[in-house]
Amino acid sequence: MKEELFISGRNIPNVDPYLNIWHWQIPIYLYLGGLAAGIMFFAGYFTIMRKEKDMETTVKWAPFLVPGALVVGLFALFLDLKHQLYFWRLYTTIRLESPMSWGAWTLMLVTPLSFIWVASYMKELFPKWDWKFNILNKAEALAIKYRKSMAWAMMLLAVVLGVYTGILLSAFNARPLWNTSVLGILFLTSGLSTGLAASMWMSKSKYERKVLSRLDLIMIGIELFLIIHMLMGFLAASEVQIEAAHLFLGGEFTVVFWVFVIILGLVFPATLEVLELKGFHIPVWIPALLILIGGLVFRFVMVEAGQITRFLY
Amino acid sequence: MRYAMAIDTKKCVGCGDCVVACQTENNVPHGYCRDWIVENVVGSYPNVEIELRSERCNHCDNSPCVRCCPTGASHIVEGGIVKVTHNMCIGCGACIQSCPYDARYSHPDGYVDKCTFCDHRLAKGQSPACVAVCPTNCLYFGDLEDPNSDVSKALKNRKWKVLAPEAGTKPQLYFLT
Amino acid sequence: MDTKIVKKQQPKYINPYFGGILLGLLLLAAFFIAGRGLSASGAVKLLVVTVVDKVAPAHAEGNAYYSKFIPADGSSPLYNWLIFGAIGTFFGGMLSGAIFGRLKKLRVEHSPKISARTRLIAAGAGGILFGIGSQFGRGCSSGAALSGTASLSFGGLIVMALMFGIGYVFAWFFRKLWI
Repeated sequence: MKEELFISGRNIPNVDPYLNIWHWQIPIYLYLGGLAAGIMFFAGYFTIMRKEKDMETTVKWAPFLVPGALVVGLFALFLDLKHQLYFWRLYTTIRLESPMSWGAWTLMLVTPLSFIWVASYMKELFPKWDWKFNILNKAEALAIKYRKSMAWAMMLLAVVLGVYTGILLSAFNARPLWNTSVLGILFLTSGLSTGLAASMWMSKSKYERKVLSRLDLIMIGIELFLIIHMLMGFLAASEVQIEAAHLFLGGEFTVVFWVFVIILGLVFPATLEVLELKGFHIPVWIPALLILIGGLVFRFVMVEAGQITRFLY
Repeated sequence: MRYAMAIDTKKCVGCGDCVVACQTENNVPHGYCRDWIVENVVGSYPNVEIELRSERCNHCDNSPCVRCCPTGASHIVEGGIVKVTHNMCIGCGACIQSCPYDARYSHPDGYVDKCTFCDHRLAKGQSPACVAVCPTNCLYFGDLEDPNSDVSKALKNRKWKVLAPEAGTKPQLYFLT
Repeated sequence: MDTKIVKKQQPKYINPYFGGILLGLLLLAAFFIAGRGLSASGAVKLLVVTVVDKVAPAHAEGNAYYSKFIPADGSSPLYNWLIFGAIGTFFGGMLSGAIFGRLKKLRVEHSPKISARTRLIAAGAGGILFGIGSQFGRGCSSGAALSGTASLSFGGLIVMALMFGIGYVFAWFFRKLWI
């Protein structure tokens, strides 16, 4: 027999029998952050490539989702805090070694930028829109003049935001499931993919949908590659990580992961998108919705499964 | 000054006095504990080996909890003790996620709490509550940099181990085997 | 921008006899893979049990019908082969419809003689009756008729025979809904 037990009656709330201190708020926040990063990245990219006319939805309409997504995500994060009155302490210091500090400041930069981007297109998309104050009109003219710089800033910050959602988890080596450097780029790719899916769904132009669909296929391909290699990496690592990988290979998360994240969230939408590109008519909302839901389920699974894995006991 | 603790697993009987003393001394809320006893049983009768360990926060040299704190609430004070400033803690839980020893908990008042090596007692020249109360005197505490302290003497002549060295945290709780 | 001719296809349907053979082979595969047969009404029943358990757990525990399907270990009643079978059926059908040109705009299919609303009300009423009947008879057309007769269950045979027999009898009374 080989047994290791607490015999002093330890049963700390949220820590025993396994860590469960982060609940739905964190996966929602990670998901919305990734989605916002995806939309912003491609809005900036197509602006720099001077394709705003062809990719109108991606550049002008889809970014309308970003401010809302970020605000809701930040609110979810605020709800998760247990000492909420002191949340402002986050912004009194920059701690370079703490990914959470990175995230707080990146969001501080990204959220206003996304608002400004959306505001700069308001008159173009809603001709009757009136800012009412002269200073806002001047600010809008300034924003329109510097759109290209904003696009570069958005692309850069979107990458930082996307990678941050993954690095936030992978910084906690104490949770073996998260102790992999793949998580940063994996969550970025997943975020880009969900952003593309959202833009694709909103778009009315066949050309735009085709371009986004092709990019999305590349993203899904990369994501599948990274997930497979993440699992392979775990299986080749130390005992705690082999056990962590087994949560997805026969353990309690096997079904949810493979059915809802891999098959329904990645492989099946990719198949539908390939069929669409080959000429079969697929209603665009089906692969888009599946990818969006798959991304959300993925975050939920990673946060919950990660807290179950541990070094000791 | 580098405070550390050595636990003699051959002398620990698992009585739990250290757990209760700590809860009393530090007003730990009901249902929570800052230290605990782990029983490790290997083998089958008649070749059974039991190891009893009194565990707590390891006050690591390379503590991931201090590194990942976004506000700086988690910090290291004189002597290497890891502490939490309550009114700087936002209760985000990052430190709890980052501790491989599950030594931290979320206090009902909102901030994160854990063993502090009873630094309020150290300031008065006393030893931590758990060390003071242990009936078998299996807990040795002191300054690692002082060759005459209890902990240095205990580590000199005995074989010892630390928990999860592969986590890279350089823990300062030594278990004499 | 390249021009592409979107294939406007005529909807293709499989030969029903061939389709039946394929369905039978699928049933065999289900027994082999999952150790049990198919049942659409079973999936719906599990959904109902989950909802009742969420809304009124005490009532669900005490009720002999519901409590049988609530797992003891606290996991959801939805964690069942039938649910995943139903999900797969939905998406597989969608894929097949997409490839063979049957996937069109979302619409209510009905006889030209009646309105979409009539069709939906009739479907709802019939569905309720079918739901009650399938639970009394321990199975529907896939559960009792297909899987039941596959395992040579006499009860399944009776359910199937009466289901289709009574259907034939009452078809005359509702013929106006169709022709």
